[in-house]
Amino acid sequence: MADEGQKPRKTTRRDFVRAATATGVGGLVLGAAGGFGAGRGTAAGGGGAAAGGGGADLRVVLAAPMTGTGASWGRESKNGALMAIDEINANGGVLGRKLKYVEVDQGDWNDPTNVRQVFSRIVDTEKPDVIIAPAVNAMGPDLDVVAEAGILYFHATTREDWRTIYKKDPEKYWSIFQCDPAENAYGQGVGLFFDRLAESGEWTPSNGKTVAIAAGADPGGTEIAKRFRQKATELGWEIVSHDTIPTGQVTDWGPVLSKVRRDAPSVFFTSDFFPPDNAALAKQWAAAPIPALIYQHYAPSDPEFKKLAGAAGNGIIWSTVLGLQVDDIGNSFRDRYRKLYKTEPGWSYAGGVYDEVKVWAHCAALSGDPKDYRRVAKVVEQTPVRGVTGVLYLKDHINAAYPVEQPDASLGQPQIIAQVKDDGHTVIYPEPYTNGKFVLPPWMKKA
Amino acid sequence: MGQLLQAVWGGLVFGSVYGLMAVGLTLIWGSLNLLNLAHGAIYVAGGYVAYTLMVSLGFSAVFAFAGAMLASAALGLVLYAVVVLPMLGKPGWDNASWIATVAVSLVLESALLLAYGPEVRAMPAAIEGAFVVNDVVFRYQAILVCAVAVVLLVLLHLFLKTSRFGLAIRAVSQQMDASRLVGIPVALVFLIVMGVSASLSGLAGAMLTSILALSPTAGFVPMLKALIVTIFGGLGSVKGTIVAAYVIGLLEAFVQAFAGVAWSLPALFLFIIAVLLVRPQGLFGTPELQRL
Amino acid sequence: MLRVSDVSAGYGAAQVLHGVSMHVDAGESVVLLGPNGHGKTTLLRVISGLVRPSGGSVQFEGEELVGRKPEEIVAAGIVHIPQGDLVFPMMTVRDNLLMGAYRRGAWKVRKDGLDRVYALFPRLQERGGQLARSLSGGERRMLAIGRGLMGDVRLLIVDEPSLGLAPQVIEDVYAAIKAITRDGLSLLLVDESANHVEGMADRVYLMETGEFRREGNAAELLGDEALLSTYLG
Repeated sequence: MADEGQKPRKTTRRDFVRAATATGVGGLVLGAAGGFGAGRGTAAGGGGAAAGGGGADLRVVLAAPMTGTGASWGRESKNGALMAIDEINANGGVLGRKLKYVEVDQGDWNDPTNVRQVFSRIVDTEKPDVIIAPAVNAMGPDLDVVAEAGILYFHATTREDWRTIYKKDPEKYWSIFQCDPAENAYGQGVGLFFDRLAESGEWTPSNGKTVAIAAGADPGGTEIAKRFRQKATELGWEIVSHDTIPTGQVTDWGPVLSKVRRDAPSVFFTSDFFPPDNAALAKQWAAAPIPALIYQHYAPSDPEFKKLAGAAGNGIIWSTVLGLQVDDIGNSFRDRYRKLYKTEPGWSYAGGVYDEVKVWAHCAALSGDPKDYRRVAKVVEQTPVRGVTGVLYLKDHINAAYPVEQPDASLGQPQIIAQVKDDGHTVIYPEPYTNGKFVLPPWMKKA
Repeated sequence: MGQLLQAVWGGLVFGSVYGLMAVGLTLIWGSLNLLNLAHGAIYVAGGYVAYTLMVSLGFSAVFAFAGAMLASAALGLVLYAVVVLPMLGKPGWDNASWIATVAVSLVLESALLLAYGPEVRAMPAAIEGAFVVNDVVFRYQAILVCAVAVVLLVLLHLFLKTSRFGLAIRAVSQQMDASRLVGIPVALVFLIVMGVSASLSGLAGAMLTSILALSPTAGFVPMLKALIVTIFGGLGSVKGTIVAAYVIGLLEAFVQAFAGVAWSLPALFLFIIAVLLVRPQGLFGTPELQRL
Repeated sequence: MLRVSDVSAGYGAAQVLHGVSMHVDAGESVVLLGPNGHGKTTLLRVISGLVRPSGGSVQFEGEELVGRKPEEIVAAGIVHIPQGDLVFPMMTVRDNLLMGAYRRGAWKVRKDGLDRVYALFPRLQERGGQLARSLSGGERRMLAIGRGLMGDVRLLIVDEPSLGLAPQVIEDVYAAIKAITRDGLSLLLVDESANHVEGMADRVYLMETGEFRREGNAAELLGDEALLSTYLG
């Protein structure tokens, strides 16, 4: 397994060095902690096979949708997880133990019954030392099953609900961490962004501070639209319309767009996260555009969006609270990912799941005993770790978004706001996490 | 004004699409008493065939559509061979048959999943572009879909009303013994019905996936709506199905335009439940009779 | 012309016909008499290919019919007008008749066929545009017979034309059948009673529990009151 894991990288020793440097503290601490842990294990007179150098593999179970609507995210998660595991194993593993990658298909991640079955199967039969997941849309059953089993679980489901659930019963859910901020941040951050854009003079709204909202009819989409509306209203924007649309089924935007055309807002905001829906919007918008900026929730970051929408996607603004950064650390990850998989990583789950594995491994090593899940969880709560998506600081078992939730950029993940361009994306907000400036979308440029 | 125009235009597009899908279901139900739940999978297969011909092999849209129709018709014949031939006339046909079509549908979807992967694909439009009237965008592709659907539905209606073989299809659906006794080759009628029905579904898939999206499971929602249309039209009545398709399409478009897009599917279900309570045989159905 | 030899048939385990033999000669009108449920209809369904016999043979002008499809038997010139109202209820009277001309040869001359049938049953012409299910019982029976005459008929098989009809209507139906056979068409007719077949039948078979009990000249058999009451009650 270890050999197999190393195979893809046999020519890229230099990348390791770079990776270790790039992940910075993470890489160094892993090595140091390994030494420390081994020493302690010996000193304790071999306190069981669990502690100390060597011993049985640690099983890292990825629960991701490998089939169905989430399959493309599942594949990115797998790539990110494998990359992290291989890198850690190449550095000697966690306290001398190798990590073993185990994959379980989440299947239909919108179906609570299915989610319960999948997670029950994982804890019953896969002997996980840690479970990692991109997101579980039908969040809930997974939390209960994992909490009952007392197994470490890192996910990036981006849900405010989780904060509430955890706060109510921290003793029950001690082993679970949401490795990104909640959806609440989205709406607020985006509201703030458009206001800054208008106020700074970078953009002159065609019709004053007006916005039309099409909220995706899923829990996240509804919440994001609500928060956006609040923030925008607070900042003096007028909401000209607020529609609800069925997430994942909006193939014909005609009815929505005819209203948008009628009301002629300066911004059209949608919180439907499903890439094909958003690609359809981009194409239908491009067929007969009006001079408004479009914000689409998250979807344009998915490579699928680009494939479906093509040039029609250019100029659309999107954001993510779980974003692969465009700094040295993030770009080094991109390079390694591209070499390994011959494709570009997406913006969220490749890096997000990579960071989940890294945070766990880092803290498992620091704890001295990866099998002592309680102690590992304690270390996770205490230790900010800089990953490729920003800093993960999971004191409250959920991360915070910079700048709207966490004004200290060193203690949260930056919510990046980006704009689609021909050959990729420009991150245009917030400073200093950007790599370019906002430009008028093609449909608003004067001929 | 814009909203009204949007609703009427949307209704025409939806109605045309549902019509193309639903007449196939109705034909098969009417003549074979078979609820063909593989209809949606055949729709998707038509989409993939057209996609392959157009995007991967670079053929023209006309050729791609024709290819999709042929390939789907072939699937209809496969369905005939694996479901109808071994089971028709045997005890338990009513239930065994539709369960068998579900099996065919699963196999077909899995095959498409293996061949093309789970990603959603964008089928290019046969004609790109659009014009705007009163804030309503008229896409050329949607106009094409409408036109083709209307022409095909009218042709199908005339075929069933006036042609020798069309009359024979209706005869078989109404009285099978009598049809045999006037010399109608019933097995051939079944075969043709399966082929025609499947090819219409495949064409719908080929044309629509450029407006909607193409993925191995993309046929489910259109088939669900086609089922609603078929039930509303009175299972087995082609004329009823065509009228019902446009009624349902307009209903959906009006709900979307005036109440919001998210309400369209719930509204459809409420509507069909109400219809079934008031008029269980549907719009044009007649109780206890086979009809086409 | 038609020769049935030692035919046995049934539905599942229930055997209905026990080795029956009979024949119809060219231009002849033959009547099968017998009580309900004794196999007459089954025999007709065997002849027209709807039921496959478990044994025996059916030959039409020397050609074996057993194993042939119904549409091939129709093509050979045997037209079976089934019992009851087996019309196409949701089609117009005219379309019903046109279906009788489904065979390609007949379809070409379907206008002549319609004229012929309308001449025989003027009522059908009046009702041409109505759905068949809106017809009265007698009209439906006429429609079924008319439909049978649309093709190239050489042997007409009629199953209980009087079933369920009012007396006056029955007279009309039989009159029409007599008119048809006057042109030299061969006829095989099944009936429950002897009341209406006098003057029409050349030969008569008496059937009981799946076997022929008697066969003979119509005038002779139909005149034997005692015999008829024994078999037909």
